[in-house]
Amino acid sequence: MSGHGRPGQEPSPPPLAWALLVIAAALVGGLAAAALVHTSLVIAVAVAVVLGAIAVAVFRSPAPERPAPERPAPERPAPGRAGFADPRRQPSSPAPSRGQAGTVVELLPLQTPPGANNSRPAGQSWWDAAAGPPPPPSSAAQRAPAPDLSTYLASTFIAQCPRCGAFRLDARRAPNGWDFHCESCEYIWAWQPGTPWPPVRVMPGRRRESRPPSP
Amino acid sequence: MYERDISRRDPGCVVFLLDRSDSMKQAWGNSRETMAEGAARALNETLLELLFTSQGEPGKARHYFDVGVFGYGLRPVGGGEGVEPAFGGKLAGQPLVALPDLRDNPIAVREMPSVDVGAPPSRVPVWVEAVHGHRTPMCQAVAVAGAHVYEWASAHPDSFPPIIINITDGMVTDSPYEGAGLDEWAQRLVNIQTSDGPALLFNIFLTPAGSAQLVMFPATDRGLPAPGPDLFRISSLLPPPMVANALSAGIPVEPGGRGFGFNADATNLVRFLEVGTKVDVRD
Repeated sequence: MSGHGRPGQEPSPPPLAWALLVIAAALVGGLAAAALVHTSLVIAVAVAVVLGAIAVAVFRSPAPERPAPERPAPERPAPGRAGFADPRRQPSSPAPSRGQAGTVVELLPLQTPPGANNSRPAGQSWWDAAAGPPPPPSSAAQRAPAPDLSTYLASTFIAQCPRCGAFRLDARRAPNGWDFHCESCEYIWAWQPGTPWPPVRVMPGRRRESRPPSP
Repeated sequence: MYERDISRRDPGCVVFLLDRSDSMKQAWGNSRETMAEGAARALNETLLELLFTSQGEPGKARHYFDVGVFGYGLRPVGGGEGVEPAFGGKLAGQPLVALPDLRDNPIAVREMPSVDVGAPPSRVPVWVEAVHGHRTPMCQAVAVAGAHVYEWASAHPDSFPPIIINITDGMVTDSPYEGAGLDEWAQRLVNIQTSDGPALLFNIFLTPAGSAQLVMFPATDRGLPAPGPDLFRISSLLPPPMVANALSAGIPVEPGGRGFGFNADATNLVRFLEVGTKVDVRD
C-alpha cells in the first residue's frame, strides 16, 4: 500500500503538480492565441496566468463526500433455542479453529465508557488507584434487602450415615420423604422430614475404603 | 454491602479466569472429557444461563451484565504462554462484552446429547473453546483482568461489585509477578470496589481424580492439601445473596464460608458457577 491515500484508493499526483500543469497549459494556449491575433505578449501571458490560477482554484474546491460503499449486512442468527443460530447453516465468516496459529488479534485498548468516574492519573497503576476509598453511594441506587439467614442453622443439619458415620451420601426423593444410600458402606435407609434423624454410630471400619483428600 | 439489584442502569460484571495450562489436558474423573473440555463446557453453560436470566423477551438479551473470560496458560491467538481474552470468533480480543453482543456472537452452536433418556439433543452455543498448554500464570491473569475490572468499576460506581471467578487445576507458576505474589495480586483485585462493596474473588480447584473429597464453600482450610490453603486464603467471603443461592441449590454453607471449591468435578463446577453468578435482576 502506498504511503499516500487510504486503502482502496489509487495514488494521485500532489496538488502543486496539478496547479503547475494547468497554468502551463493556459500559458501555452495564451501564447498560441497571441501569435494568431497579434496581441501583446505581456497581455497574453498575464491573461493566461490569471485564467490558469482561476482554473486551479475551481478544481481544488472540495468535492462532495461520497458515501462509503455499503457493506453487506451481517447475517443474523435464525431463531432457535434462545434465539441462537442454526448450526447447520454456514457461518458468514469462518470461526477460528482450535489453537489456530498465525492469526493476530489486536487487543482493544481500555476505553473509558461514558460517565466513567475514572480519576486515575496517567501512569498510575490500577491497583494503586483501586486502593483508594470506595465511591459514595448514589441516591438513585436501589438496594435489595439481604436474605435473612438467621434461621438457616436452626433449619439445617448435616446428613450422616447412621451405620458408619460417613458423609458421602446419595439422596433421592421418595413418596414419603427421602431415600438415602451411603457410598462408603452401602447402607440404605429412609427418612421423613419432621422425624428425628436415626442415631449415628461412627464406625470407620464398616466403610469399604477410606478416601483421604487428594490434590 | 452486596445489596444492589442488577439492572440495565446499573449492570453487573462477571469475569472468569480460565486456566488453560498443560495440566488441563488430563481426563476429568470418570468422564470422557478432559478438564479443559469440561471447564469450557461449564463456562459456556454458565454464559447461556446468564443470557436466560437476562432474557426480557424471547430471543433478546437485556444488558444486565458485562462478561469477560480471560484464559491463562496457552494463548491460542497470540501464541506462547500468557493471558488473553478467551472469547473466539467476532468477539476475539474483547476483554468485556455486553450480554446482547455475547448472545449475537457465539463461535458455533453445537448439539449436545441430552441428559434425559430419549430426549433430542440440546443445541448449545459456544463462546469459549477448550485449549491447553504451557504453565499457569495466575498472577498475570489477575493483573490483566484487574485492569479491566477497575475500569468497569469506575464506570459503574453504583453497581453490584464485580465478580471474578478463577477456574484452575494447578499451582501458580508466576508468583511473584512484577514484584507481587498471588496473595497481593488477589488483594489488589478485591480492593476494587463500587459503593456496594469490594469486588468478589472466587476460586475453584479442579481435580482429575474422580474419588477425591469435594469441599464447597468451606469456612476453614483445615485438612486441605496444597494448593487448597493458598486458594482458600485469597477467596472472598460468600456474601448473603450467594449463601442463599447455595442453600437453594442444596449446598450447605457454614457461617464464614468462602467462595472456594476444592476437588470439583464437572457437575460441581457448574453448581459452583451457578452459585457465584446468580444475582437478582430487575428492569
